[in-house]
Amino acid sequence: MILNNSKILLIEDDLQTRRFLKKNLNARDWEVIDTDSGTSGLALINEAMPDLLILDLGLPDMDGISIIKHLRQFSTIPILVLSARSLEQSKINALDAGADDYLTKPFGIGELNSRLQALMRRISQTTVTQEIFETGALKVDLSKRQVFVSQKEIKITPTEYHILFILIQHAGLVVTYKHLLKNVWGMQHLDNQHYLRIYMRRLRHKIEENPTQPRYLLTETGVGYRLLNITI
Amino acid sequence: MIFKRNICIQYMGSVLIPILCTLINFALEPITGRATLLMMYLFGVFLVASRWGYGVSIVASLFSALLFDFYFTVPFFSLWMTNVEDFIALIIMISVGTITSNLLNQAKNAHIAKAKAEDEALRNSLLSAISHDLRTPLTRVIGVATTLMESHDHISKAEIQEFSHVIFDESQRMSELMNKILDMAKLSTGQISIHREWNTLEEILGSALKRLEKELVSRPVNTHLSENLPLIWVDSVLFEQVIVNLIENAIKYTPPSSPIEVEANFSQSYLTMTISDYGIGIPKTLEHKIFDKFFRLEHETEQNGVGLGLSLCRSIIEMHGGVIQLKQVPHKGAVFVINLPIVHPPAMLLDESI
Repeated sequence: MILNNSKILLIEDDLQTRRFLKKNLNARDWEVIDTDSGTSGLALINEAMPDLLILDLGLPDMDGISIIKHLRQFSTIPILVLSARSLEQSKINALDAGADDYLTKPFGIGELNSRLQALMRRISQTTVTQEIFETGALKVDLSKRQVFVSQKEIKITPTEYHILFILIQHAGLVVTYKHLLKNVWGMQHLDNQHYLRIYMRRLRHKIEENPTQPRYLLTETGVGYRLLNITI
Repeated sequence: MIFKRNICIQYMGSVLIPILCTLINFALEPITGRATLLMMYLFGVFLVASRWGYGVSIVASLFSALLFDFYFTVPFFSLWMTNVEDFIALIIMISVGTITSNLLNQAKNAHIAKAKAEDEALRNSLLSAISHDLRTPLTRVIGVATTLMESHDHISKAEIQEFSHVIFDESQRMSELMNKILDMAKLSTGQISIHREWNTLEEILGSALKRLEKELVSRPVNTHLSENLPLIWVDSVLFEQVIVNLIENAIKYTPPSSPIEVEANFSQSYLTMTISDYGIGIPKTLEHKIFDKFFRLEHETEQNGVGLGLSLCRSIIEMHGGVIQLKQVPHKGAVFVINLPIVHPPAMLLDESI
């Protein structure tokens, strides 16, 4: 699967951050075009047709959330948001507005690379329907709805499977609590976070070797869950 | 503008309260003696003094005297006084009012001065902490970066690697420190609003351990959570920070491979979490001090950190109505116990058998 060597648009106002990101991403075979403002970034989406967007939330000329909302009216380009720490609500807002994932500053380049790969994998998957999903010792047969851990079949309930299925669809990416609640229990249960907690605990007990130190079903505190994708 | 309006209110109060006392005294007069009436006025003066301070209370005191003289001394409805006893009573009332108001005022000022001194001490320790703990890594970064810039012809590849690592590690350290200082500032100015949701302790602990993955590579963390722990009604981000701070402490003050234990169980009304290490522990005499801002044990001056971690923990746990304490346990090092009140979650529709 060719993941890298796609074209990335980087919108970040800090020159040094931009330079270091560009250099490091180039070294990992990504093609990077960059700009320092929201307005020129939006223009570049149409002109340069990038495959991915890395967007810094704190731009001087435009609010990051409105850039995402504006973009989502005409484009489905995967968006990775860069944000400062301890602002969970702004991460949630960005994800609700249509961003696909986020990375908290400061971050390592390896982490950025794997997020970008997860995003690319996701768009390539929408065309090919996958039958088997595998990450580490976890294997899910999506056509037969069967779950295996270290080749042993695990019995899971329809609701547990539903949660797992949504996480697999977004493998490697964060999925907000809201998204899970909406899709598994419906709009009227958005406030019933305790449903999700209890089912998630059960799912971890079935899948993880040590549920307090999960390897696959990771928590993004205050935001959502992420299914770790260690296929490659 | 606001200042002037405040003064207006104060002086109106200093007039209105004695008038109110007079009205009450009219009601009391038929059933009580002169002394009670005077006491009533004194009460009014103290009220003014405690609310608005010394200056205003003098106005209230003099005005009360006038009212007393006018309505309740012979001859009535005149500012004259024929009875010496009344005159002496009046003088005593004014003196007692003035002296007590003055005392009240002094006590208040002393309180303000103490708070100011505490703020000042906090500010000083913050400044010294920042200057020591941020300057040391900064000096290293600047030094190493300068070497890289100026003598790039003479350094080997291995040295470049090593120097880059120094820059990376020191920057990480500064970043962590910055976060703690910001958290503390936000907590103490009330900027953090607590966002409570239903959570499982298991999950928050898992995510805290994940965050500390790098620091915990060579070190076993044993977790013993009793089955079916109830859901907890907490701010997951803040609660995770508490666990991270406590485990970081254990990492800092114990040898590299020494284990850390996390236990949790529950009773009818409390969930109890215990985080313990096998280091040298903290003496019982310092039990109360360790949760203070910027407090650091003597032997830890060469360690990184500003002494904010535990103080943050206490603030966060108390925001949740819980308690964090240090416990002395034989054969163990530092043992921290958190007690959180259990809140019962709304019922859940179980749409399938478990």
